[in-house]
Amino acid sequence: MHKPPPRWANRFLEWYCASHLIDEIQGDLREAHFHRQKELGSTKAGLWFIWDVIKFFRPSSFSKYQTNSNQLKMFKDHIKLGFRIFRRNKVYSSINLSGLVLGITCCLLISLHVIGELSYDNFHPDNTYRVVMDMFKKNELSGRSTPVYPSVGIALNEDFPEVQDFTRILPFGDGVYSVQNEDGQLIRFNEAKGVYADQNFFSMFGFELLKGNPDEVLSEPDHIVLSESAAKRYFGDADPVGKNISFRGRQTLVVSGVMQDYPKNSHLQFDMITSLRSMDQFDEWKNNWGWYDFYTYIRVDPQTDMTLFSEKIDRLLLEKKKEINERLGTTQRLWLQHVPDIHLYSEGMSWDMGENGGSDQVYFLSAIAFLILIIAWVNFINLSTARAVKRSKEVGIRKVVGVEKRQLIIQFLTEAFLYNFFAVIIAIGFVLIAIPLISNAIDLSIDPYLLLSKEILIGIVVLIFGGSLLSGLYPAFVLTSFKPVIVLKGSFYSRKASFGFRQLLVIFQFTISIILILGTILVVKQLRYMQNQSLGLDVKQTLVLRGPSSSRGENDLANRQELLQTQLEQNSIVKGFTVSSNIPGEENFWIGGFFTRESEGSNSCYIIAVDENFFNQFEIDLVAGRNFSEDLQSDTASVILNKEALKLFGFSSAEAALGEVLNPGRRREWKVVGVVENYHQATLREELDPMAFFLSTGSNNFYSIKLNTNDYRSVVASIEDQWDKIYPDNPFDFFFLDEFFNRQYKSDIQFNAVFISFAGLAIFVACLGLFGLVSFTVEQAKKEIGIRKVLGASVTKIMLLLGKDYAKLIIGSMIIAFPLSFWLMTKWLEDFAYQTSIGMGIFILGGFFVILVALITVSVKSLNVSKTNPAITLREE
Amino acid sequence: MSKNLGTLEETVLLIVAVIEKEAYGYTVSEEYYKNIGQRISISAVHTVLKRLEKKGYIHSEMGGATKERGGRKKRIFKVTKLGFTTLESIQEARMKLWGMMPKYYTS
Repeated sequence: MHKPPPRWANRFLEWYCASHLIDEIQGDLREAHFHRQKELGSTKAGLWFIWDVIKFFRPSSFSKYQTNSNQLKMFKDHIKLGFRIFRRNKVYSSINLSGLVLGITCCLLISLHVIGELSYDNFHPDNTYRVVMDMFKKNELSGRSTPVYPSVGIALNEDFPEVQDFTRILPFGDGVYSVQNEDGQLIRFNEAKGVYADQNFFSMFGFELLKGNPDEVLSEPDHIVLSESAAKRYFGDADPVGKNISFRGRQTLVVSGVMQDYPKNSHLQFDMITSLRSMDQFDEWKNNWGWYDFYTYIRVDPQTDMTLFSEKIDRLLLEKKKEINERLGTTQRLWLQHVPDIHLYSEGMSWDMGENGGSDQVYFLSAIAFLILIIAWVNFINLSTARAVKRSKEVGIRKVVGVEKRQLIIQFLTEAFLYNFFAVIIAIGFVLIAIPLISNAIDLSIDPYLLLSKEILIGIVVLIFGGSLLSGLYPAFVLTSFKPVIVLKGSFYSRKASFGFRQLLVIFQFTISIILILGTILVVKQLRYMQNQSLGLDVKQTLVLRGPSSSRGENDLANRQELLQTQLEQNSIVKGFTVSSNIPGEENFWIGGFFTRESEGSNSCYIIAVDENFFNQFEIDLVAGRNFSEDLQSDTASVILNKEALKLFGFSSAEAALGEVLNPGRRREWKVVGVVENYHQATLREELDPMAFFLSTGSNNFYSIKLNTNDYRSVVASIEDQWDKIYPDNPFDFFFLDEFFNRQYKSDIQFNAVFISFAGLAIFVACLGLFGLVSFTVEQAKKEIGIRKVLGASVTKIMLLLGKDYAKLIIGSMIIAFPLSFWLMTKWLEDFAYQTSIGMGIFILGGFFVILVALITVSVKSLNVSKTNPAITLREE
Repeated sequence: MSKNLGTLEETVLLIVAVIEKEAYGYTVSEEYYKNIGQRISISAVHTVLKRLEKKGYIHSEMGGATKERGGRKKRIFKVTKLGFTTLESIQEARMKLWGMMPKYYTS
């Protein structure tokens, strides 16, 4: 029994196939299907039929080919013509194309970066939120904390049916981890990405677990999950599950699972996760409303009305902490961050995990990308219109021959399309070349595979078609509106054409360029200002060792620290040695609440434990009182404050604070023995922090060594030698403090570089536009110039004549750009705690630069024309 | 358009010339498989036939419809005079070359 071929394929064939071909094609295919069915069975024959239909799906079979062949031919013609016109004037066309290419390249690069930034944390279950906390002191915001109290998660889960689950992360897993391998060698590393987490960590987030059951790996005490690369560090290729790993030399943990390395676009970046139950004195901390070191994430029922829920959460701590708050004069408010928003919208949050914040930067860059693209299109419009004069005769002839206006417009749009199309293709090539260069130069990684993402692909299509329309329509209408009679007669447009659209475009371009240039100068100035500002302490020639954390017993580390100190002090290249719990440039997690006899309530103040050498070595000036002294036993109960802390506690002067007591009546009282000058713990983006210094006892996080040599290499080697003898169980981990501190400016330096290059591109493209306009005018004024020369005008005079028109445009754009950029610059500076002044200098410098560049652009073309022998220009007619 | 014949074109031209039945897309493709031993798709055959017709080696007319074809007509091809002479001259040239073949290859 014969079965007909698959219906949809047959229909598809009938749909695309031209009517004059359907007989032979469909006939042959059906006949083949008929015979094949007998040989191969109906399924196979059907597949063959489909395959054949697909193979016939080609232009020669299409019906449109016949009915619309005229238009298709015209289109082909347009394309051919487009290429010819491109070749006829290569300089012009290349300038035109390169402007577009540059604009699109910038736009693509920035889009890739922005899409990368937006893609953060998009792989977690939806409805996951981070609970964060704003802290108020006397109703004034005193801090925004990302970690919260351990009880918050529990309370949310118990009190609100909307909360389905919660997990807590405690960031205390940093330090030395070590493993004894088979050869008896101790493999040890200082880990900086270690945390403790609740057992349901893996069910809350979208991280892959390669080995182990996600519900069980963190359920037992002393269990640890390693990332793939961490497992490799300690265990090589062997299976780590079930093996022991030692934390800080004193706690033995069992590896219970291996997780895939975290993707780059995750704000969480962990190498080691220990079960929270492994903490010393573990407890659910059900009623702990004071210890805010727990990053808390909750999963909310998808049906929940988030505004309502947020309001409920906002009030939670007002009720739970009522008593304490009333006594201390503080309040806290919880709020929720949707996990995908964390990366971009955590500006101003303290103690955050990962480098978050930067939505402003993303918006800023997007705006720049868009502006540059607009400039490039404007440029295209300008240059294409400038070509109008040269092509007016072509258009005139075409019109005379009988070409419709509509067709002419299509022709010019086709040309615009070709430009945009090839510009995009070339730009993609440039992007691929630029990505590794950028990541080398400013350490900004861009993922080239994002080029294949849906957003970019759609964007490219929109870019090509939208760009063609935007940039092609105006020239098309201008070019086609020429009256053939006038054009063919030869005279049209005078140099003193009215103040037109193109002049406006140039003003627009230059306004943007000037703003970008002024912005660049300011960005550079601000960075330099921050880096040159006195930090209030000396970070030069200081080698910092990360303190050992792997110990053999109670007082072991303190003893060994003393040993190291005595040995180092005998080393002639060591000028000083000091230990501290924190160093400048490192975020301080240690905070305490203090009150004085007079103060109302408690004040949060940063704490640093230091030894008696600290202030001397870092050259922090003592304002009043005295330094700590090793000989005074009582100094373990002494505190030294900085000036900010004085202000915080309400002391009228440094002298007044001396002898006062912090936390009087408490189990531990602190007597103020000295006051020191403020110094910058972080960059000048941040305000100064109030700090309280205590005399350190026991071991410390950072050992700072002041060197009196510049031969760092040999110094490091010799210190490492000494270290290894004393601390065989701790890795030698060092950095130079000045570099470490300046690394905080990395994002500023990146921003700088990006801004400078884009501003440079913008002005370049704008100059191309100006060049186009000059050429346009000069082209028309050729005869005028010729006649002027014949009558005796000098080259200089003609240059001045031509330059005058453009000077007006540039000055016009300055008038618009200066106030606008002043406003933008003020806005931008508001982000910084320490701001450079904007000053007249920026405007003078920027203005001068723009005028210079514009002048050069104008003179290149006009000089060319004013030098031409008038005989040549006047001969044409 | 060039008047040169490609290998596939030559083969198809030959098939159209020697075929006993009517020569059209399907039969040519079948004949090709029978004699050459390789499958060739009908769409490829159509392309070649069209090209041969354009070069003037074959000409075509519409033939009758059959039931197997779902009532569609055939486009039947016949070799033109030019086609024959071209085939002959190719064959002649080949024979001449074969005649020059050294004996030790053929023996």
